[in-house]
Amino acid sequence: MNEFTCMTTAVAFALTLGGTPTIASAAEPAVKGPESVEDWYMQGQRFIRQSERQEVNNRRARNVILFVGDGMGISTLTAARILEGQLNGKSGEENRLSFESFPNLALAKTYSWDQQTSDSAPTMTAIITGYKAREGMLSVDHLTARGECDATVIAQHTLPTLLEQAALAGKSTGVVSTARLTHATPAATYAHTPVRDWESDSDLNAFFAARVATCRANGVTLVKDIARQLIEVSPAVKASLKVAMGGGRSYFLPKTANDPEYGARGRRSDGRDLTAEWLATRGANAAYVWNRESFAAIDPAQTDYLLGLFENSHMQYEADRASDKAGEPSLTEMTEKAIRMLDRNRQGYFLHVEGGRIDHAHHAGNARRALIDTIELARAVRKAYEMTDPQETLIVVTADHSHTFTIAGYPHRGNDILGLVASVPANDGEAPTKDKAADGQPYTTLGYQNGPGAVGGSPKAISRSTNLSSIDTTALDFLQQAAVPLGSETHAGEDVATYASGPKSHLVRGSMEQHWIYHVMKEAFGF
Amino acid sequence: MNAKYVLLLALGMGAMLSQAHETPATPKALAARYTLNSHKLKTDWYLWRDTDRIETATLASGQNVIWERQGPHSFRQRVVFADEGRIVDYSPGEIRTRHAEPDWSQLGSVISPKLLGALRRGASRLQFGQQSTHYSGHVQGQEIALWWLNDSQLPAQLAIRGRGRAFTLRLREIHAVSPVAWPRTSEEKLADYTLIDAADFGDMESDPFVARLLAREGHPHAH
Repeated sequence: MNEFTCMTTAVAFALTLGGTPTIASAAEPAVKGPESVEDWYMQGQRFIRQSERQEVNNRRARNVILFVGDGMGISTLTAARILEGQLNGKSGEENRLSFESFPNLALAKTYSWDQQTSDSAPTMTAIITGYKAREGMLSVDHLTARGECDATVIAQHTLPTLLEQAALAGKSTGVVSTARLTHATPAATYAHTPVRDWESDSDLNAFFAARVATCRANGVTLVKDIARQLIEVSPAVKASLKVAMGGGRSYFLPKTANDPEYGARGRRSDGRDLTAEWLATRGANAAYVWNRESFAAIDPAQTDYLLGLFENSHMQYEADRASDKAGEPSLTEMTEKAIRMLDRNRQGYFLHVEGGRIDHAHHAGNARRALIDTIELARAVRKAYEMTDPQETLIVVTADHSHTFTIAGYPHRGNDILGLVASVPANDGEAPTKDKAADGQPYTTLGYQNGPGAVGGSPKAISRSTNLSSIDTTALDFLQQAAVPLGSETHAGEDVATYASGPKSHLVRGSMEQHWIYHVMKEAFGF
Repeated sequence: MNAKYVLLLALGMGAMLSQAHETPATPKALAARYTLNSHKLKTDWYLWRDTDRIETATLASGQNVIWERQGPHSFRQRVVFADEGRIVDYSPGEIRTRHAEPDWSQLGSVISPKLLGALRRGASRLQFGQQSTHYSGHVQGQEIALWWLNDSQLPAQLAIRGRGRAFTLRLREIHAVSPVAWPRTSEEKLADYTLIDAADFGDMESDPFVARLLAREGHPHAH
């Protein structure tokens, strides 16, 4: 599968008369990279020359594009980089995801006001508002009470988001995700709520229901559900939010409506069809699309407002997208169309793009789907970079949090990243063999600290007594082994990487608090 | 408890199930009511079979399981927890990721063709107005006795003993159209429940319902 040579010639040692072992003829290493000795030095020198040419761009950004890989921790980036390289027939390790060539990089600390290891709600709130917040809350400050349902109280705790500030500045705005548009990460850009699960009005009766019942009994105005907040945004955001694409169709449709793709009912109890309201309130050139065909038919030059809802819930994993019933666009295709729409505004735009399903695949303990979605996010970043001028567009690529995903053992260069660990042979000329753990069984390079891949975590977990040599660990559905049995693999608390290119991107540096990312983007816009 | 998984446990058929991913034609539509007896469980168990939709209900748990076939190798499952007003939705991608793709034949007939083929064919007799055949044998250390309705492709009686377990399933009623009083779900009814995408479990661990479900995820009957 790669350009590496696996030599199987025997090692030939010869004994001299004196009994001292010497190598009679040097055997070729079975595993070797493509580089010459000089290449390492030249690479380093090229890096220095490029770095010396790097200029600080202190201009104001016309545009800011914020990419978030949900759950895209550093181990995910490394493994995705290797997988992408190996899928291209290379060893993989030397590969770079598109944004890994960006000039500026920082580590971001992801704790929230009340969590050591955070969920997506406070982390995206930090990134998009500049304030760390509470578990499960979207773009409200950390003084907000859990389950607070009084809209007046929430208004007092609301934190303005960069999307809202861009709207006030006359820029166009957009949100794109492969998760539901009402899911925590995209929702934090436009919604303000103490409960991330209040995605439709029906959800107010299901989550913190007792608090909501009390609010109702007291006659207070309830916080709007997230889907409704997307439609009933402020006048400035309403004018600026040109494009919103992702999943979550059922949250916008009433219970009386049948879904066009699956026939199932919508989720809204209030009888409102928010997709129709989008069309009714956004002018003659507004559009609503729900499948690949209608998406493809959209002319960005002729469409002023575009709402795309391609699944009832989350969009498909990239690995499964081709088999979707109605067809749906890729993250790259959505990003491209969004930029074409937003770029019509001379004052520029703010666009948020989320690779939302990396997180879900990790929760399921399924590395391959997580990595393929990460590679797709990198493609979307490449497309955005190619479509924009780095002198005027700040692109930030980061993650909200990490996962307990590990790259283990001492696999040799070019070893299949989804395969079993085989280390560099002890003697040149010997072929690599699978490494064995203390239980005598081989093990995969990729694994999780916890999750469904541990026996007791799910019925499909593979016990350590099973010889993995008889199993295709590279298969799409393979669940990596894990240590601690949990029905759902968890987030992890280590820092995440933040990459940046464009105006003010040099401010992304060193060890950062996650909420400082907002300040870099705001500074770039000059607000 | 989901009686289908009681069956799987009793038969030790996990490996067989995971290998049987064909998408065969579904036998004719019907509705059936069984009495299910297992170790501590005695309950009515229902099966509704349509071309691309198979639903079961276990009266004791108030839990319905709906399988829908959306295309070749594309299945959706909804587990309905009526008492808690919740539905857990497993999308086709989630089903694949969880290795939970069903053997459609077994879903609709309780017994898979593979298992039926492993049993010894015996006498015949009329039951429920149709010809039935007796099958018996030992599979994976368990003794199986089955009366099989040839036309309906369903067990009339099934008894499994072994490995310290005893399990019986006895057909009580079978209809071409479901009686109205039977606990079948409808899309109208389901619309009143809170739907949870199983992909969101990882973000909902503080929700009491999801926490309880996750604690059971390691057990085969959880979904």
